[in-house]
Amino acid sequence: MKGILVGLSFLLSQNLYCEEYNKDALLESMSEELTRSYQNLKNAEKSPLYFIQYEAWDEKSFWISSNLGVINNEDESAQITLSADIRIGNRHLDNTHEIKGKEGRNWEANSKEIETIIAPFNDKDAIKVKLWNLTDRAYKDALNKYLKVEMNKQVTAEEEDKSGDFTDEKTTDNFYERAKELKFDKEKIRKILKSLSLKFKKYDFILDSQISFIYTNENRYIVNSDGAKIVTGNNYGLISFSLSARTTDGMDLSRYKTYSFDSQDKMPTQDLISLDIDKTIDELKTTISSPIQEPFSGPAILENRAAAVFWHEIFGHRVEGHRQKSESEGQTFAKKIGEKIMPDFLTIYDDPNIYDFQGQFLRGYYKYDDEGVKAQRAVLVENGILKGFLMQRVPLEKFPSSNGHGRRSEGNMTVARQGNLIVESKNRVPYQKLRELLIEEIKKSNKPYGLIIKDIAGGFTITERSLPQSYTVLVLYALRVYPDGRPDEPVRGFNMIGTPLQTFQKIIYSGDDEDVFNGTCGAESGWVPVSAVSPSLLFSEIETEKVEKSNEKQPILKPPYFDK
Amino acid sequence: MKIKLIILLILGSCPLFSEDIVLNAMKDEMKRNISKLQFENLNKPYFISYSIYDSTSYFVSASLGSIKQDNFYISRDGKVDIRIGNKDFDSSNFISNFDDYKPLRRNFPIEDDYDAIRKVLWLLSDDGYKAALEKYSQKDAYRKKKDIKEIYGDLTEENPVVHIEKEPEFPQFDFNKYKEWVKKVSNIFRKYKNIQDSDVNLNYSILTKRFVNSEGTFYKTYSSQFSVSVYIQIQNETGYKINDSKDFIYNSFLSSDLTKTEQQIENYARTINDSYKGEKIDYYVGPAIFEDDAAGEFFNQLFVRNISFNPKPWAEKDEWLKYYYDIPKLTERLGKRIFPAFISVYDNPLVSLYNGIDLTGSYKIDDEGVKPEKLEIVKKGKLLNIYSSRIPYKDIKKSNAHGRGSLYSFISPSAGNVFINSEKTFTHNELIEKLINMGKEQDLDYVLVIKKIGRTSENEKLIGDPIIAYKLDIKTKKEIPLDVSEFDGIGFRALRDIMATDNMYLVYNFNQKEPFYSGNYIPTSIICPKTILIQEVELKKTEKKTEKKPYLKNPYFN
Repeated sequence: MKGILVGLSFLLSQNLYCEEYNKDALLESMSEELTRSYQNLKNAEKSPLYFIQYEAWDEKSFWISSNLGVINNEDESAQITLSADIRIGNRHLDNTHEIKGKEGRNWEANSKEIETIIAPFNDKDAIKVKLWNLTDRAYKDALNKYLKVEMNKQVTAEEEDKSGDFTDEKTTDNFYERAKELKFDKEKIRKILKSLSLKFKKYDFILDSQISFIYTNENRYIVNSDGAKIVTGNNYGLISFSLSARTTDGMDLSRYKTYSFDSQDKMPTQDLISLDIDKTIDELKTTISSPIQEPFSGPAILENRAAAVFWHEIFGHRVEGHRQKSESEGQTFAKKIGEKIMPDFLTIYDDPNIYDFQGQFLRGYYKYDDEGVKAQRAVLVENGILKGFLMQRVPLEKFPSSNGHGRRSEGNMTVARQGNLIVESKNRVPYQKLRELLIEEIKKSNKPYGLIIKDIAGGFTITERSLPQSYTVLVLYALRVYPDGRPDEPVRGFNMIGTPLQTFQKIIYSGDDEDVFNGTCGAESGWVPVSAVSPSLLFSEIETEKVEKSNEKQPILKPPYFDK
Repeated sequence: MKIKLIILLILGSCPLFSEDIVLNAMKDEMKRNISKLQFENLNKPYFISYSIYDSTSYFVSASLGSIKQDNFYISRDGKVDIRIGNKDFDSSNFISNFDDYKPLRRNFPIEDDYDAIRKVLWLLSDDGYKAALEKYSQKDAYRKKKDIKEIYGDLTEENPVVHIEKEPEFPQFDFNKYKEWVKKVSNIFRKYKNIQDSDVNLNYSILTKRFVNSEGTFYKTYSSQFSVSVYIQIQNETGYKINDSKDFIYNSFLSSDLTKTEQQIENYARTINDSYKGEKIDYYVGPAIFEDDAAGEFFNQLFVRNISFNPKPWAEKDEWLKYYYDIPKLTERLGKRIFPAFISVYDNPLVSLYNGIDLTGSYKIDDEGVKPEKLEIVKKGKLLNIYSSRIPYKDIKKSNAHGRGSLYSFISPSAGNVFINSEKTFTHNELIEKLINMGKEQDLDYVLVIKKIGRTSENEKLIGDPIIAYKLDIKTKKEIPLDVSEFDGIGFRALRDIMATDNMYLVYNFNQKEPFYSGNYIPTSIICPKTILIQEVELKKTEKKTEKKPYLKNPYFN
């Protein structure tokens, strides 16, 4: 019986696939114009066009925000954006090759920005005319760039990595799975947001606050001259709240929290958000009057969600494949495959195929990347040893293939990016034990206190060779922990800083409390949804720096509704 | 759902001013700030104004018969002007860093809520006051450093004005009808194979403006704008790429004649398509006719913009100002002859129709709360007045109610409805005859007919180059499209070189670009002769580079 049912559903889905596939005007027009362009342009000039890809982003979104119990803004949009990627030359050397030397310092020389256009809905002729125009411009730009690349290659020193510009593999998958647009009860959402945003009105120290709901239904269309024809989609829901305050010494403080989901039933409840708002307001209030943290080095715990951001920023960006070959990059890990780069109890991989973690939706989930390559697990670190990189279709000497991590947003060329970065630890202890171990470390290192970093705004890492290979984690909420049993004390005004290789060695334990960071990451190839999962981490030593202040005075008058 | 929301929003903002929550919040927060906003030992603000604009707009775009965008936008934004000092010398009109080129602005809640509106005003006022204190001391230091003796003041004396408009009954907008029309009109371009790309955009927006100042002026006005814009891209036979657009702007969708607009778009498409094959020009010196849009833009770019936007602000980096502010160039010619004696000009924002055609530059009160009257600008060729706002300048001690500005820009003097009248008029055919005769007298083989020029000028030129222009063959009287060309040295002399004009008038409705780089657009109308004959223009082959033709044929025509 089970077998029959399975067979039936397979047949049904096949029928659905064929029907939708054949009547999708966007896919058909992209496919037909691509075939025409490739056939006619591949030998139109002496320098051959050897690869062409079109990508379309079919996006529908709406956004509602509320402030002090009223709707602040409401927006709704639907749009199809198209881009064309063209490669001239051959897989060993093409127009995307890095321009080096003096010419490479021109801002435009290695820019990852590309042109996009807005496509009409549902009319093949109209879409094809737009694609024709876009292709012509992209082709001419690519020819121009290729001539520059050829000469630059001859007049500059040989690169260390000679693995070419494009992988040999062919992306030939045909896949059609549009994400259906979700229907939300907007009136109910308005009501919830208004009720929640009203909570901030009771506090005169809150300068600004907002709560918003954003929903995006995104379907990506990819066709290329290898034969790929892919339509794949995701739904992204996001509720977030933020609040800010200013201290008497001119420091702007803010807190925020986000909730990600991809279906109505995974939305957070109003009660949960309400409790989080209360907690965050309390924490912000205590932070305002807390002391400024002077530059410090000593033991610290980075709590789970903050630790997930730490891995994303400090490690994840540095194992993006293209950074290992670019002559302008720091290449922290390029030659360290097979070497121990962190404690052996840590294993890290990136797997965009994982849909959720302990029931929490992962925003970095996708089936195909933006080069039409099926998403695959990329094993990055195994028992502390570096095993691999996040790969797109730009080969490295020892990594000739993509592992499905070529990602971008509209208007940018694809580079290797993270999806779901998962950190696993074999040295796990319950959180309470981790705290005890922190106190032991404080005593051992003869420090007056240690730190627990509970919430961070994000961070950034410098990977360019011309600058120090450092990272910064922007701390929003942290506590000093005293070894003598005094209550924990909130502190403010500092960032966690350091260099990656040194910092990783200082991780001595992890908690057993893995949590998810869901966010949107910005880099050369634009903004992409990402996730990272990590337990809390205990560092034997971290370093901090003071943050820059706005130096603005607090408002002269009270909020109007407190001035009666 | 969307339609319902828009209607609710409009209805939600209709009560009279005494019940207008937003206006009440503005007035109350104004009172609190003007009386209490002060740092110990530092100056209080002497003047505050708040502007809040509600905008509800519908935008639909189509290409070759297919919709590409179909969106609603609802927004409420506001800006604040807080001044330290006094009317003779205050913190305004001074730029010390890049941020000073735009006013302090914030989003406001789209729902009418007294506390929420006041909260945003509170934050804006606090920022504005602190900025004004610093700006005042910087401006004072600049004055001393430059030893500036000619100080004309910063704010004119004006009587307080209260102007509350009753909300008009905006007629029901049939979204589907206009969406279908845009699709239909965009399909016209399927007939014209030389046009490589085209889009037709339709925008309908309703704007509610509220304003209060600390002198007791407050107003609330309603307006709407309905516009259709056509964008095209063509690469002509020589290889020059031309991106051009044409706008059709009305105060209401009811004023637009869709059949007529469709015909005009068809004509525009045909004309652009036919301009594919143009004849080259080496260098031309001789008479020319400017027709239709070209006549409107001729007057706007050479004349109207150059008597607007005065005075320019002071700037710490004075030499950079020209990149961020469109400095007018006719303001020092007050009392001098700038047109031939048969041309007179006035501006009257109070009229909203000309021969049944909407004038989009009309308003009952300017953006600073000053009520306009008919303003005589040029009498028998002599410049009598330039546009002024509440910024005094030399002998200009009063605003003439042309202080206009979007939320993205400081208010500056700008035109409303400019009426350009001529006493030397002929029929169009007579003007063509005159043009040909002038050509004959100068032994020319052809003369010039210019029908469209660029909206913006390049390389510090005073006027945009021709987009649609023809050689008019003197013998055959045939019009032959002209290849891409550039004006060479057209100056203000061209205004005095107007020989004669058409006896027919055209209404040229357009959105005037504000002078600040961060600025938006101000609805403006020019009512001028449909054709003007200029004694002499110089035209040369363009210095622009051609581009390679498309490698493949347009798939639709292939």
